[in-house]
Amino acid sequence: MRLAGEGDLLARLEALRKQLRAEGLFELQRQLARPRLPKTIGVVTAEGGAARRDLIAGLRRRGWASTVVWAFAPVQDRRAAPAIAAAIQELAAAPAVEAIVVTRGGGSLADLWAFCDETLCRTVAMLRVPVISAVGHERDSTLIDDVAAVACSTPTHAAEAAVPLDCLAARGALTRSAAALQRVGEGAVEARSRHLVALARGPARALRRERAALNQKMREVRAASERGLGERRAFQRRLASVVLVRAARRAAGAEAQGRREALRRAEVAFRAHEPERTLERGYALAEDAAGEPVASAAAARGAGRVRLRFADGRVGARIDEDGSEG
Amino acid sequence: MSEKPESYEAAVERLEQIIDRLDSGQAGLRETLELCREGRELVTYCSAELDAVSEGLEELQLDELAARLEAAPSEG
Repeated sequence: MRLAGEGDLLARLEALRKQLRAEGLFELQRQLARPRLPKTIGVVTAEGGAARRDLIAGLRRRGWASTVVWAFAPVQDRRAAPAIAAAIQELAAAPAVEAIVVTRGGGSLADLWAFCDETLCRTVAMLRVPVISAVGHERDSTLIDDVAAVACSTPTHAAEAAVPLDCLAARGALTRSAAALQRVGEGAVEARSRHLVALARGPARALRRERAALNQKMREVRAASERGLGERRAFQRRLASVVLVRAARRAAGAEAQGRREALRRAEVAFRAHEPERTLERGYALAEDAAGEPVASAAAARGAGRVRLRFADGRVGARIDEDGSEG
Repeated sequence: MSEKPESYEAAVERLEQIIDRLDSGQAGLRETLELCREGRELVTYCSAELDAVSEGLEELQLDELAARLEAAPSEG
């Protein structure tokens, strides 16, 4: 009986599965975006079931501690399917609910048959809130698994599917990222600060260097200026002496000119008195044997012989007393 | 980061890009400061997202949620 009944259920299940797949109802939920960090999760399960405890334990291990909204429903009798469908719809109607978990423990296909209900499965397929199914055990396959966004084997897995992000791991990674960011950021700023400080010292060093060079130049300029002043004074002194010399020379020149003129006039006067000029006029000069002038008759008598010097030459002459003309 | 990240993962991915870029040492000072600012905002965002689901596990019955929604209909 049981085997025949289960076979019958399996046959009905397969027919239904084929039909819903043909209608494309298996794809609708899988195309929904699932929040990575839902703040509110709706759960449909039996109030006293182990699935409830397992699900909470799974969420805690995830580090997730937010709001779970329970929608308890019978999960194993004729009333189950409509009640589950109603619970799911009510949860989906609450805007805060971001994901819905439908779960129960394992059992026979007959026990789980409520989760193969066509109406329930069509309801789930058409919902805009992702539904995570965790019905029965790993080898159990119900129709709700086919239409749900995610089908899980256990409530613990359903917890992980409902909160895809491992909050504990994410918290640790975020802390490391924040530390890395601070370290790198501060390091970059510090390194540049040091560079800036070094750069800021640069101009001061350059200024000191330039100031020293400038002071040296000023000393040199001052020294050169003083030296130049001395040289200029010496030059002026030299210049003055040259001017005086030239003035003296000019003055001396005028004097010499006067002297030369006086000399020329003296020379002319002197030449006028030269004996030759007298001789040129026809006079003759009597000279003794030594060439000395014989300037008197007595001297001529005494000499006996004289020479007569004419302008054009000399002739000898004898003094003749007898020829005196007295 | 002038806009809210698309998701927690998108924020974390961008944060990792930023840290890689800063670690490379190739960013100039202006870019470094900008990346640090953006990174801090991302960390703040991610931290707030985690905080929002770490405030303590609260278990409500469906009718309690309904009552709460009726009391504050504007809240989503």
